[in-house]
Amino acid sequence: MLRYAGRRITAMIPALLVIIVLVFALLRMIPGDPAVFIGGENIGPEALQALRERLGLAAPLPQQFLDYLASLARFDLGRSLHTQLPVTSIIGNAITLTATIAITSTVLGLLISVPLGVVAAYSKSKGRNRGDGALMAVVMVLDNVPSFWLSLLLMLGLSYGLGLFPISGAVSWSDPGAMAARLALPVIVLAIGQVAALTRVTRSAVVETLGRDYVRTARAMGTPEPTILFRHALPNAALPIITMTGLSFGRLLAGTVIVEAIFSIPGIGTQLIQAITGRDYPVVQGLILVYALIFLTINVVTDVVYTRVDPRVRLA
Amino acid sequence: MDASQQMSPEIAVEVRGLSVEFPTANGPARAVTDVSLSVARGERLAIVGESGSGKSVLSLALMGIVGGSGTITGGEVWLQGQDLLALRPEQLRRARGRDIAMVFQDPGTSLNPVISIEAQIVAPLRRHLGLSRAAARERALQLLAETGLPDPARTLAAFPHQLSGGMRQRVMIAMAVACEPTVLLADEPTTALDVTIQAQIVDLLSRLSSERGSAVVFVTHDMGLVARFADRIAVMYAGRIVESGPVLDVFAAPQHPYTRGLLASIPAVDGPLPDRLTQIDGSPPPLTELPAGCAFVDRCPSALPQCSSSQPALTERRPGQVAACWATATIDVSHREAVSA
Ligand SMILES: Nc1ncnc2c1ncn2[C@@H]1O[C@H](COP(=O)(O)OP(=O)(O)OP(=O)(O)O)[C@@H](O)[C@H]1O
Ligand SMILES: [Mg+2]
Repeated sequence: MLRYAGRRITAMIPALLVIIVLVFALLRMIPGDPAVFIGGENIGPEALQALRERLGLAAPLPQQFLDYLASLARFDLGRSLHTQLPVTSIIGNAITLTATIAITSTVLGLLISVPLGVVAAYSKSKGRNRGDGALMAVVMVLDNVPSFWLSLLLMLGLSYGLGLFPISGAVSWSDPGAMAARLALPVIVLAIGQVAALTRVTRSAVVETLGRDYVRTARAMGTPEPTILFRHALPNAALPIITMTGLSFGRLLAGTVIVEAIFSIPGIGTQLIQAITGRDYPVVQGLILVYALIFLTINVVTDVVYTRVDPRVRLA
Repeated sequence: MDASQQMSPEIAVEVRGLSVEFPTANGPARAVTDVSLSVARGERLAIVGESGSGKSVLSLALMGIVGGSGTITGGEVWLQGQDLLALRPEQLRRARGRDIAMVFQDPGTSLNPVISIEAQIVAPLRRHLGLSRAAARERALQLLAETGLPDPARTLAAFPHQLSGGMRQRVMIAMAVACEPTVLLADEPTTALDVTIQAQIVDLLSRLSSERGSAVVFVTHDMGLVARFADRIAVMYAGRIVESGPVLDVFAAPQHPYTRGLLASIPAVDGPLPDRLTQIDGSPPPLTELPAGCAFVDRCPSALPQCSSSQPALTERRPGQVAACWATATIDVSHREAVSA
């Protein structure tokens, strides 16, 4: 298992290198000079040059790139051009928030989708097509609600209307209750965003396993229906569900950028937008690297989870 | 079965007028039509017939199970004073695995790949017999040993994909006999097994029927097994039972031309028996287009004019032996002797 993970991580290095080069180059191709952002429009040419030198932007690009690589090799992501804070600590603070939101909403999404999908599959297998149809119609509606619109709707209804969840204010772990209330809406929005895909894949996978011979065996042995559904049929349907969860988690990370902005939560999405707007090269580079790592790790995690639910799957 | 049992056979299961249909693009496929049979406690009934004749569908329907979008269109299955097919789902569930259990035809796909063998065998024991985890495990070990598995403890810890086909088949059998059901259905229970293991399984099923009084209904293509193991035989053709009776009587004097065809290559009752049924020329009509009369008419060497228009009923030919055939219905005993010779 450890050897497997080690091998998979080594295999990521080429992809990461490509990303590092691309991001470095692309960032510097976008118009806009970080020194101008920091020094202001009215800064004189000499002061600007001094500032660029201080920020390490004066050296030739290949030189800058080599310096960047050298510091990466020391696991040093540099400092923000704007705040001089180490990029690692900026990311560190932001990522706990984003990870909390992303993981919680994925878990919530699964808790909603898997039972929904199983019930839909069961209705279908029993020929109760109306129950199945109604569930899938609800799912289709959810699928077509844009997350920003849903966010605004929930804000209006639950926050302004009922005063349930604060939508602004401090985001701090010192008061877990307040933190939970503060993160609730973004988590709900992102969870709902995952429901459609996860419910569909659960439903079709379970419909398939319900038709298998071993389900017939379970039935012939007098197994209660809920046990058949959740112990016999669902685990056999797990592989596509896990795959979809991985994919959906990737999409959700993209979604956090929007949702964090709407609910003003200083996660990595918000940081990324700020850093891009301010042409804060080290921060953008660091964040993109983190996103890339997360995306690449999802695949490894997915594979490892496979082996936990299906004894036939071996890590190769 | 001894004489006293034969005098007052206690019926284990009685099937009346059972029919199963599958919807198809060409109309309903009548996989099983109007099947009636009864099996006494301790009795062993073999169901034979060529591929597609409805043997598996019939045995599944005995448990109230139909594959795909099929339906049981009629009939009753009386077991311990109640009609299984009329039970509420919860009662039916309780009967399955305990009062009536089944060994499935395909052991490769009939065990759940993600559940350990132990969990699969132990669950019904705990559910139906209320055994503790430890007691159920003990019983499972014992059952696996009885099926001739060399290392029961290791088998118990395994998952189905780690076992060979023959081992899975024996696990399947152990599961089905675990609760000593009143009726054990076995769909080609020994097909995947080599000869010695087959003998062990036959032995296990024999003990189940003679010591526990279970009725064993098994589907097979192996006439040798029928001769060795079964008390009675039922011959299916195109979804109907066309002949049934005590094995020796049917082997000695088959009353249906189809049965004769099946047994044609057997030179003498006490001679060597072929392993598989012989092929008869032609093939049965599609189940969506069963004729008004006998479904065998097109292949029958002794067909009469009325055979294609009118369905022959099962009539008694000898005590306990019935056949559904117009051509042989009137033929007397002396002719029958000539045929079998
Ligand atoms: N789930 C299903 N959907 C549609 N048709 C089915 C289904 N199961 C069985 N049938 C049809 O019912 C008929 C009888 O099938 P069955 O499996 O009982 O045959 P069998 O006598 O057991 O044959 P074999 O000796 O090959 O096992 C076949 O024509 C088959 O195509
Ligand atoms: Mg069959």
